[in-house]
Amino acid sequence: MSLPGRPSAASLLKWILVGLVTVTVVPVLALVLIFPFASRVAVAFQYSADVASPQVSIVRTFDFLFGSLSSSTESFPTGTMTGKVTGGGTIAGDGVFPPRSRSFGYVAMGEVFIDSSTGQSNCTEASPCPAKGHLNYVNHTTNPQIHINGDVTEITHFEFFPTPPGQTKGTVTFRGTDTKSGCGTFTVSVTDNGEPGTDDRFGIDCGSETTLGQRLHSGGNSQIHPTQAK
Amino acid sequence: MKRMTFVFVLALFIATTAATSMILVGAGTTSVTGAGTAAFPDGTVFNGVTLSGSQFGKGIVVNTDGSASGDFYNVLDGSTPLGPRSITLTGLVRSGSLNPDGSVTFGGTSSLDMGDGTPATSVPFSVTATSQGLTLVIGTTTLPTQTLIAGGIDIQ
Repeated sequence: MSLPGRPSAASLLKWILVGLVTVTVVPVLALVLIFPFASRVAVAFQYSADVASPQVSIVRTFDFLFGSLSSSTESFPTGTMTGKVTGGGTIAGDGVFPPRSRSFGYVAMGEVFIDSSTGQSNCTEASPCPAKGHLNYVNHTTNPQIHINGDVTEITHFEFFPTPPGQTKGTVTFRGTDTKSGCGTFTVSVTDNGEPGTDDRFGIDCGSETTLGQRLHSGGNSQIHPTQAK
Repeated sequence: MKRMTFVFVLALFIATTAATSMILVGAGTTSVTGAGTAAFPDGTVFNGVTLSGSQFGKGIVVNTDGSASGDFYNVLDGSTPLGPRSITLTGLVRSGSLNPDGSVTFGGTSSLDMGDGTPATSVPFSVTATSQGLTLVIGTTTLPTQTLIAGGIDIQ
């Protein structure tokens, strides 16, 4: 009976080299090949959804990329819940209007169902979700100042972005009827890009009063809340 | 007996449905929203800054159990001997209550930027809001009531 011989030094070295190549070269190659492709896919995907908000697209592209590398650590709430979004602050911080030229404060909440694969709700333009809440908005640049004030009645878009545990980001569009300025139905679109709100956005359309899409906050905060309202 | 059982089951069903609906749509809550400008009474001074007016935005949901969530933003405009100065308070609301007189008091933690180039600091704050104005407490300092000039404050 013969016992197997001890591996030679050359054989041992060969396996060590194979191991080193496996743990270093393969991941680098994967990154080089996949990263540009993932970026293009993400940009293309987001472009159609956020044409009016290129900065949102960039942020979400980063979310997409980092999510693809660490998908196990990023997620969003799913299922049926009371979706709630609150905000108070001023716009615009992106130079479109003078900073602090428009003030806003709002609450919008309603029952939504969040799809586990997309983070988007069942609320759409064609099939809005009933909602409650209120909006106050003032354009300080006009004389007299334009004050839009009314109850929130519908949520037409509610979407969570993938985030690490303990954070919540997303975008919401809601509608209601103004009772103050006579502009009719208002549509507000907000994006929560994290705390404390330096990258958050607010936009409104009501008759001739428009912010021309979502504008960067010049102060304040917008928050999307995943939990049920008590 | 059968009728009693039927009535009991029906009542239980209605109560359960009502309770579920209230939880899901947020009944039992008070919302406070506001946006606009306000004025301080003459002679208002905070940390060496003579305050004249303010700008605010807020969206808050106050629950019946004393918890609350939302955002409060208040820019206090004023001056010092060196020139104009704006103090900015950005607050995350964590607690609140509806008062017997119809006003709402809410509070939490804020980031306070004194507008003098020093870093913002974290301080507790609270606000009592009515439809005519708001009274802000920064730390332990209660500022005089800011009286609404433009915009609105709604408590529902």
